Parts: sequence; structure tokens; C-alpha cells
Amino acid sequence: MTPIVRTENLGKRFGRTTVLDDLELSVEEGSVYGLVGANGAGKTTTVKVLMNILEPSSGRALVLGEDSRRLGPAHFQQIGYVSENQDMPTWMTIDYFMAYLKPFYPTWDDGRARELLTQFELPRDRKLKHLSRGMRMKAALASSLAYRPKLLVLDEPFSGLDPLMRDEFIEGLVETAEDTTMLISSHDLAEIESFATHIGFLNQGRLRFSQSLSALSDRFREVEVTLDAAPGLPAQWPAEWLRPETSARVVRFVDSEFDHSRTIARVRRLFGDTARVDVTPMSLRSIFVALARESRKAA
Amino acid sequence: MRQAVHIFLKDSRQLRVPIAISLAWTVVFAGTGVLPWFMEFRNDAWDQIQYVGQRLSTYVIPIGWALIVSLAVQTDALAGDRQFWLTRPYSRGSLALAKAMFVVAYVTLPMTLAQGTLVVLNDLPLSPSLIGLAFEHVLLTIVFVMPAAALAAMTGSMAQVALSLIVLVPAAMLVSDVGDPLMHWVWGTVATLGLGMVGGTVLLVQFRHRTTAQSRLIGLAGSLALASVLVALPWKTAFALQSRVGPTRNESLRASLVPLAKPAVRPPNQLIDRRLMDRRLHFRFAIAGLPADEYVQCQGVEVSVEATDGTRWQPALRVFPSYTGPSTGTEGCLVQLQPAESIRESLESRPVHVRASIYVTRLIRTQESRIEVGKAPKHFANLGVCAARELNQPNQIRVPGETLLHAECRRSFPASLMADADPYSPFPATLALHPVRIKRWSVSSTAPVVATQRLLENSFLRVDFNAPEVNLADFDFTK
Repeated sequence: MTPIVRTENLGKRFGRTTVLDDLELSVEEGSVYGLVGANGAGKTTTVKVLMNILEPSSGRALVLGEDSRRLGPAHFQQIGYVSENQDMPTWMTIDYFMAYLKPFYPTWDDGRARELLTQFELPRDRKLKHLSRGMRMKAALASSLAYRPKLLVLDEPFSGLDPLMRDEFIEGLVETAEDTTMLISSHDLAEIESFATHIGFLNQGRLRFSQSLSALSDRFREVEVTLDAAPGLPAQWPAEWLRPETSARVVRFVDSEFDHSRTIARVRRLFGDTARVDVTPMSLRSIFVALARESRKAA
Repeated sequence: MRQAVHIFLKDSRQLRVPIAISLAWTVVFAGTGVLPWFMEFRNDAWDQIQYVGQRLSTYVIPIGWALIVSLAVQTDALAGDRQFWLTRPYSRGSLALAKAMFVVAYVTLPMTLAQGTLVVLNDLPLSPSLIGLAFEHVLLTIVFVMPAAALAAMTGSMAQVALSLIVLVPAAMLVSDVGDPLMHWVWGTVATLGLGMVGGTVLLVQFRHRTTAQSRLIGLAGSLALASVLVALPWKTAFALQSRVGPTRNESLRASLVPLAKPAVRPPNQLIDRRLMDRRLHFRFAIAGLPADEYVQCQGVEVSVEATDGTRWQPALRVFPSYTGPSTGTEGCLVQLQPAESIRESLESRPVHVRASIYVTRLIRTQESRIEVGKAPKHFANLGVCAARELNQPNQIRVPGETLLHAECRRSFPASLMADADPYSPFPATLALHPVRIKRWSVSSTAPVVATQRLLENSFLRVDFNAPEVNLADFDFTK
């Protein structure tokens, strides 16, 4: 697959603060890429560099095969961008907003625009400033989907939305953006997990991993080892076993390179044959928390 | 172009209320700007309204322009990283063109229309005024519109624009007072060019690259550099420029140092010790070589005195900005100088070598224009459209057998204020909103005609003086 977004040694500094450090990111065409990370990890900065809102300090970013610094009108006709940080022209009614944007996009589809407004239940004659935050995000999404963009970039799209609005928003995304590659930066992991195909974990400006969601789910397991006596942690603790915890006769950890037979064999070697091993699949949220805590500990 | 029109229409719709207010005030300006002939003899409440309307317009209209232009630039703000248009297929060229269209549609065109209307309704011909009108709009755009647009392009909100204006406007007003009033066009030109360059560069950088920090640096450094140049611009450089740009003539003027007649007997002063008196030298430089009906107006004198023992005294250049009118300079340039006590003895002991540069404006009296009383307004060369009336004012003291006549002349977009020996300007107009200037005369006459004459600048000259043996005692009034 061809990457539709790619960064090469991308760096961004604000004064003496390094926000992005040698970032190597690749988003393949047709994927739904969730860029996750804690607050301040550099997600929004990454997105702003990709959208040519900010210039990189080092390295480069390629979007639709073009250097982000050279993105122009022809490229933005194929890109949709929705962000919680975006200032909308709030004096416009939804109808005027859509009508205003239409001439900018040769591929604008009036029928699709109408469908989107109906689907999102947006009051067309109401000004954007009189809409709730969720409705405004839906209006922004509708205006970004009506021209069938090749790439849809969403920066923290779920922040501040109530659960019902989040569901409607995601429903709209999934239903209407079949042919669109999506890059979603968010820390709302449950929502990302529900429809992302790939996940990148950003921590302190560096991409810690980037892989498909299924591979990620396969790779991480919560392992619980029950012993006959109170355990002590072995001196040779494997680096890929994260967050070790002990209580009474139980040892728990997160295996970040899970392979059933290999993990069981290592447990037996470290704790003996009497140990009972329980393996539980992990949610994206649990994986993220384990990784984030590990990173914080390392820092 | 289509995108530019599309953005322009969006801006027009969004800013319809401030645009309407600005246009309404332009109508007020045009409505109150029609000046009846011999207005000062009327006693009409409407005149007061006109006066207030015009005075207020001087401030309200430029502020209104600055406001709507700033708002228009900030509807698609260039500073910041949250604007929705940044990730939409906007062409920067179209964006800049849309804002330029906004300026033309809501600043230039309405004011051109208002000024053109005022020219016609004030009984002046329109076609000779067109060059002045066009030049006036170039000035208005550079001085009011471009700085406002540049400021808005560098800031993220109208609050920031307002805050910047609170600091910048008083500073600009302070700097605008520098320079010699008789050569105001030199400082005005530097200021206008500087504003155009700084504003233009900021707008270019912001619309092309959107590098706000860099633009702010350019704006700040450019403004400080401009203010420094205006304050530090040497008077002699300005005069040399005016001399080169202004009208020229084959000159053969000479200067001579003429001792002033002292009082025959100086009354003794019992109270002040003569040694402590403020002892000044009175140098009067007479200018010779002028044809009849020509005069000089003294603008500055620079003197250097050298004693035989090598002591040299060079007081600072004396400039006479307040000297206007034909009577002040016609007999030469008078300058009072006070040497320091430490060198006085050395200078007074024996004859000294005096060198001087005398900077003068050479004036020529125009031919007499005779404005007939009671006739329709008529065009006169160098004066404009003129009319004369016999009008009486209450409490007027009248000379038996003579009548008090009043003449009034109007011109559109004059570079001068139409007074005698106006400050020179090489341009067809000066920065002003109202297109018409009026000059009035009142004369006591036995004939139904008002005869007028004007002094016009003929050339700007430096006349050098060099006398190797001058006895300073001849010029010391305290001796």
C-alpha cells in the first residue's frame, strides 16, 4: 500500500522546547489511523505540521505525495480537516457555510451535502455560533465530507462531546467516509478502538509504535501468574513485561510482545511449573495506560 | 478572480453593518462639504452643522476606514493557527485580491465619489481635478489604509489592533510634527514612502508566507527606523532636495553683510553691568541681483567666523520656519548670534574672516488678477475659480467714498494652502479629505474690482558669502 501521509525525521521545536523529535509516521491509503498519546505528546502539533499550519523545524512531512510546506489549494481540495481547535466563521448559518465552501471544491456534491446535513440533523438556517459544540463539529465534518476528500484529518474530534453525540459523530464518519483515508488524533481510546484500523502511539514527541489494531491487540496481553507461595520478582525481569505487580500469591504484568507458547515457557522458567497462568486480552485503553505509565516511569 | 470575488462578497456580507456606517458617514461628509460662496457673511444654523460635520469627518472617516479594513483582513486572519480557511483551498493571491477589492469598493470608490461630487457642487471643474483626486487617493491609501491592513495582518484580534493603535497613533502624531513647515513636503514624502514600504512589506510577507513573528519584527523595526529618519533628517539635505526638485532658474544672486544702524546715543544703564549683558552680534545679509518684482524669503543662515589667530567659531545653523510672507525677507536675512565669552576676546581683537551660507526662497509676484464684483465665478490662473461681492458686516467701520469688497477663490486638491508664498510642494495634492481650499480677501476700493496678487516660489537657493576682513564691533549692539 502507498502511504498517503509520511513523515521523515520530522522535528518541531517551539523555542527551546522540542515537541516533535525525529517522528517517522506512515499512514497507508484506505486506512483509519488513530494517532494516540497523552496530553502534550505532540499529536496536535503533528497534525498542524501535516496540514501546513505550522512549518517543521527539521525533517519533512509528505501529504498526498507533496511536501507539507508546499500544500496548496489543489491539495486542500482533496483534504478534509476537522479540529476542536479550529475557529469557525460562526456568523454564518449552516446553509451559508456550505454554500460558501462549495465553489472552493470542484468535487463538491450537493446531494451528498444535503444527505449529510439531514443525517447529522443540523438546523440549516441556524448560525454556527448558536450551535452546541457537538453540532458545530458535525457541521465541520459535513462540510469536510461533501466533496469526498481523499484524506480526512481529525484532530481531537471527540473532545467535549457527550456520549450520544460521539456515537452519532462516529456513525457519520463510518457511514460516509468509506473511500477516505482517515487520520484521527485523539486520546479518546474507546472511540478510536471502535473503528481505527491502525494505531500510532506518540509519546513525548516520538512515535513509540505504529501498527494495525489487530496486530496490536494480538501483541498485548495481561498475564496473571498464581503461585503456591508469596512471590518475589525475579532479578532477570524481561523488558517487554510491563507494569509488574505482586499481591499475596499473584504476579500480574502486561506482556507487550505476547506469544502464547513463548510467554508460558518464560513464566515456567521464572516461577516454576506449579504456577497457574491466566492470559487476558486487553482493550486499547488498557494498552495505552500501561504504555503511558511505563514511559512516565522511564522518564 | 472568481475566488477573490467570492471571498469579497463573503466579507461584504459579514461586515455589512460597519460598512453601512462608514458609507453613511461618507454621505454626511459629502452633504456637509458643499460650501456656499461668501459663507462667513451668512448667519445660518446649517453652517454650524456643516462645520461640525466636516470637523468630525476629519477623524471619523479615517478611523472608520481603519476599522473596516482591519475587520476585513481579520475575517480571514493571517496571524494565528486556528483559522478555518488555513486548511481550505484558498489561494493566497485571491485572498489578497479580495481584500484589495474591499478597499476599493468601500474606501476608495465612495470617497472618490464624495470628493468628485464636492468638487462639482463647489463650482469647480472636475476634469482638471482628476490628477489631484487620484494622487489624493494614493496618499489616503498609503497613510490610512495600508498601516491599518498591515496591523490587522500581524495581529490575531481587533482587541490587539485597538491596543496597537492606542500606542502607535500618539507616537505617529508626535513624529508628524517634526521638520521645517516650509519644507513639509520633504518630511511628508519620507513618511509616506516609509509607511508604504513598511506596510507593503508586512502585507507581502504575511499574505505570501504568513510568518507573523518575522512580519512583526519588520513592522517594529521599520516604524522605528522611519521615526528615526524623520527626526534626524538634516535640514540642509531637505533644502538641497527642494532646491533640486523645485523650479530652477539661472541665478546670479550675491550676498553682502550690511551693518545695522546703531542708535546714536545709547542711554546709560545704571542697573546692569555692561560686561554681564547678553551680547549678541547682529548680522544682516542683504541679497542683491534680484530683478524688479522679485523677492527673497530667508529660510536659514549658517555662519562661520575665523580669527587671525586661528580661533574658529561656527554657531549652529539658524532656521527661520516662522518667517512667511513677502515683507520678512525682502531686505535680506537678519541673524543674531552670541559668541561664547571664551572666544569673544579673540574674535574682537582684530578683523575676522566671515563665511556664510544663506538659504533663501526666491519669490516672484504673479500678475494681477482683477475679479469683478457681482459677476459669476470665473477661473483665474494661479488662483482658481474666483468671485467678488460687496457685502456688509455688522459693526463695520466704513471709509466715506469707499466700499468694502470681498473676493473668494477656490481650488481643488491644491498642494498649498493658497496663502502668499505657500510652502512649496512638487505634488498635485496634499493629504486632506475635503477637496476644496478657499482663500478670501477683503479690500476697501472705489472701483467694483478686487485686484489680487500672489507671490509664487521661483527657486530655492543657497547664496554663499565670504569676507576675509570683517570688524565684529560694527555688528555688536552692546558696544
